[in-house]
Amino acid sequence: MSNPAAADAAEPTPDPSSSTPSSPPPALQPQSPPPPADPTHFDAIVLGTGLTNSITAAALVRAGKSVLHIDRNEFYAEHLASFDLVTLLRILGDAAKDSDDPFLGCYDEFEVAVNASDGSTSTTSSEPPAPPAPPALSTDADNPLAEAHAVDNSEKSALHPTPAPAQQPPSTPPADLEALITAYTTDYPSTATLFSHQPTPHSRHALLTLLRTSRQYNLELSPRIIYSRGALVDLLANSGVGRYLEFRPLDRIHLFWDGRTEQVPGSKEDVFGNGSVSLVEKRRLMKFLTFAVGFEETPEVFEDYKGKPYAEFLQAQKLSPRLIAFVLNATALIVEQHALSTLTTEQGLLLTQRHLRSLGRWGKTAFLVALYGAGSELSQAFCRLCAVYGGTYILNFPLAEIITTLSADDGGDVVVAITAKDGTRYTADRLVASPAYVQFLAPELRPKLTSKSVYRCVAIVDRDVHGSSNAAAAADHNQPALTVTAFPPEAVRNGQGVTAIQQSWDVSACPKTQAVIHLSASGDGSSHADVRSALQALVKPSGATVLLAATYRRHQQRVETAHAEEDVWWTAGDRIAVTRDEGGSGLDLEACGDEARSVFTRMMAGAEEAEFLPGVADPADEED
Amino acid sequence: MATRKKVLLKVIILGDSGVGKTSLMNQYVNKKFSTQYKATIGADFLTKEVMVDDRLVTMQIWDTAGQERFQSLGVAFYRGADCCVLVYDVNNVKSFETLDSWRDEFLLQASPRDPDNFPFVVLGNKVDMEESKRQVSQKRAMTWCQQKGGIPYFETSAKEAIDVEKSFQTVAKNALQQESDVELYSDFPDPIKIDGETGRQGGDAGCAC
Amino acid sequence: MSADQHHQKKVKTTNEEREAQRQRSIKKLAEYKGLCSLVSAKRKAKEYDDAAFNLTTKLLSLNPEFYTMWNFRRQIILDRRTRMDTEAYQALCLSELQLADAALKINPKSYWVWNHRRWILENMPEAAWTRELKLLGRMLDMDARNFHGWGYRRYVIAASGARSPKEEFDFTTEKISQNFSNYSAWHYRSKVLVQAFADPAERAKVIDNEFELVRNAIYTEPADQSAWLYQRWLLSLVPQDMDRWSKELESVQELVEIEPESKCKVIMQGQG
Repeated sequence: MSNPAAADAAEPTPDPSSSTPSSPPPALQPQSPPPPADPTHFDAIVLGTGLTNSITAAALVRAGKSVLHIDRNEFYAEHLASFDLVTLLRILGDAAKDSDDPFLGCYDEFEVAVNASDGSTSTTSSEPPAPPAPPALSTDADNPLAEAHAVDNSEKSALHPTPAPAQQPPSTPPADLEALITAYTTDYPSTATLFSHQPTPHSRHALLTLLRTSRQYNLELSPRIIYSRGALVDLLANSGVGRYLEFRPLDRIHLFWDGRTEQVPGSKEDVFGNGSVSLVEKRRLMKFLTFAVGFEETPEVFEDYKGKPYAEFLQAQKLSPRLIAFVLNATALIVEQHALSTLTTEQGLLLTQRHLRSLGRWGKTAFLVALYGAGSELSQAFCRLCAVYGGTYILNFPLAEIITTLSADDGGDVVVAITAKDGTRYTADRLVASPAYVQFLAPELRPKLTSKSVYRCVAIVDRDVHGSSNAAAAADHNQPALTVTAFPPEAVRNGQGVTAIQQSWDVSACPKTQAVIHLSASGDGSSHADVRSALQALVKPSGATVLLAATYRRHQQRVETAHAEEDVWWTAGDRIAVTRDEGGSGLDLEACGDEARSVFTRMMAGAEEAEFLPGVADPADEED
Repeated sequence: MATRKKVLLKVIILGDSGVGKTSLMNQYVNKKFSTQYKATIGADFLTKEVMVDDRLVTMQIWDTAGQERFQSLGVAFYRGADCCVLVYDVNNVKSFETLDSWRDEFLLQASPRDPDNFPFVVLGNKVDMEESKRQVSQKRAMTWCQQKGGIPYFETSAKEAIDVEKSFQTVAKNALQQESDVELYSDFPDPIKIDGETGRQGGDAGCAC
Repeated sequence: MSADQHHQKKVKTTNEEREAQRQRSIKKLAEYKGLCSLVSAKRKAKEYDDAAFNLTTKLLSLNPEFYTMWNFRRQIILDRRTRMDTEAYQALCLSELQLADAALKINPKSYWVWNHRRWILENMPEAAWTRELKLLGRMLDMDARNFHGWGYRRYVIAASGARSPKEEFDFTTEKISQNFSNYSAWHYRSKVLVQAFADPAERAKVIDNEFELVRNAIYTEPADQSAWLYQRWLLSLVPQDMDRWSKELESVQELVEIEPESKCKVIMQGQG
């Protein structure tokens, strides 16, 4: 490795006193004019801007490598992206029409239901006024085009996101919006299970009202929460990337148990304040949690249960079925519901420990919720770090093919080239790609992809689904709480389990007082009906109105790797890595950081030892 | 979308490559004496504490980090901006002509609540160069600013520090006006930031059990 | 990996950054020292002008622990007061409280800042007690065990009479439910309970609930001293109530059965 910058990094810290006072200024250097011709060869090309790839790109650049980071989409973060309402509907709608696209092809069975109830017959009149009335709805209900014109500029242009700044100002033919409205109101989906009303002119109005405020929504394709303590938070803190991001603590975790949702006591304070757990149960639960924090220290307690189901071990700790459900669903929250039953004691204890160690840092739970959407924002933040250190970014890249030229002795001097539809060509020594790019690889280099269905629903509701149905809650101006609700397998129709997340204006998910509910189910035999019935169960007690519900199916792609525990597919003598599809139904992002680290380490193998995302200077608190 | 109360102001600088965005930030923040500065990693963002109407506010000025070159500035860059500085080079007419699309792009991506009153500031940079090279007249620039609802306009030189301080003072002032009531212990607690300090101290020690 | 540097952009290494960091620290320190000497000069010369005032603002925003600066600042304020009408002086005091807000954010346990607040409130035309209580609420939200905060709260309540003992009792309920390992909160609760519930019948009912509350705390966390101390205090309120004493003893015995190792045994022996 002859890169001078990287070589410097490997040197021991020089004695600070030896540096001259005339060393280069610490801050920004004037931007040099853009090079006349772009470099066309890079140390690495990274395809796909999901979180794993974005962390990897940043790490490579920080180790002195030149990186070209590309996405075929016009947005960052692939399956972790978050969108305004119009863009989400447009993308899911496009997906239904374009199943050949490797990204859009992962989404189908898209249906939208809009609340069509007439305001005059509303049974919720005694309740807080929900979203502000739309500004002067067109009186001409038969002319949606007129209404479309009333939608402000930004809504219209949202149909064509990220126009090149150098092009003409956003001016989109209103036909697009008209088409959208027509598509989502007249081709009304068969979701009568949720909504008793048939499509009416009123439902068109309802949809228009929502579309008008489209930009106030940030709707994630794959909602995520983050452990307050863990490798990912450490990475955010040490790499400096955390400075680009903002979080709020998750307020509560709920469990759907015995036909109703109840708060799971996840911390000591929750246990203390819980009115429905007896004193003796409290002590048993606390005793167990105290053990779990440092479970490795007393291996004799769980030795006999190694490899056996976690639930069985919990039973042996004299925990009641209800407490077992609490422990499983609160502390092993991030596990997909259907996988809980196969969780072993060691795995479970590790998860419970991780959970407990994340408590008490911020807020009342072990988790953070990122403003605007965790996956989307974290990915973009790592991309920014990469760009700051010289990485080149091209979104909306019209990729045509990936070419690999192998030298005579296979696995030797591989050069990877990517070609755009206009003939532009970039080459690199290494390639990292997400599954959406596999089909551009030569057939002999492609990993085998399988797919698994994840059923998702994103619903916009008019208030906190955990709030009381009386008006008192609306009197104080609190926003709906940020919550996760676990529906264990036994609570759901066919026994696969559903996970639901409620987000609010506090994390910029939606306008004030409204809430966004994301639901997902992914076990074998799961279906749209699972998420719909969970939504209904969640919404009903509060009397909240579902303003819009979009359901769809996600095909999560699985790369078949050499070893079961390995997530990354390697080929061409470790020159090409295919990373994991990140858009599953699990809730956490820890795996992305771990995976990026392993890709980085294997790619840098043989080079001088390079640190994975070394710390950056923190000028803030270095007072003498 | 400046909807929450805070004393940290996010300012983003937009404009074509080479108009001097980064140099302007650098000139403004890295001044000698009486003002402290913090530069973060690479060409990232700079923070500067300024007094506006007897109040100390922290201004965080964000650079594009070069992601504008292939129109790949993600929406995250624009989030929560309190003021947008549009920069062009008075000796390069093309950089002036693209101001319109930079402004539109900002309004689209940042989607401020009140787009008509969102504070922009326009800087015509590189006025230190000889007059014969000048391609955009002051009158032309001011007319454009008037048409866009009276955007404050300054002619600057990052190189010779002409009017840089003055223009950023206006940036700070107008950004702060967006923040109707800056109160420290407001009803909306500040969002959590994860920075190096957090990493070292690790919040409350141990678990709550 | 081949390693030609294709990029014109700088790639700073960790070492370069460390050096840059060092330079920044040096510069920052120089700036700070410059500020200090400027203010000191003003102070010596007894110059109470706007420049001096702004310099102390800057300096105290950087370092709230610089207590002589707070003193100087108060001198300036008193000087200004002679040239101000009441309304302007009130506004000055309010902005002074804002400055102290910011300083407390840097160090919530700064004696000098709490002291400055107190001085302002005692010297302002209309003391802003409501604002003060709101601030205290936030402070204790962030760190419910900040004893400066609790002590100051007692001062504010006593000086302002803004809240009834009952309201303060409810306030401690809220804080204890957030974190019951909080000696300051239990202690304050014991003080306000006696004031809030003077009527014997009502007090007896409240005390019943208190035993229940503290039993929950003890069962949740037997090792927590503050709950045991509060229970002891509760028992001291009913020295003759043998039913109560034996009921509590029973509960503790039950706990010992589940938790033979815990400290409660010792305490029970002490009580029994």
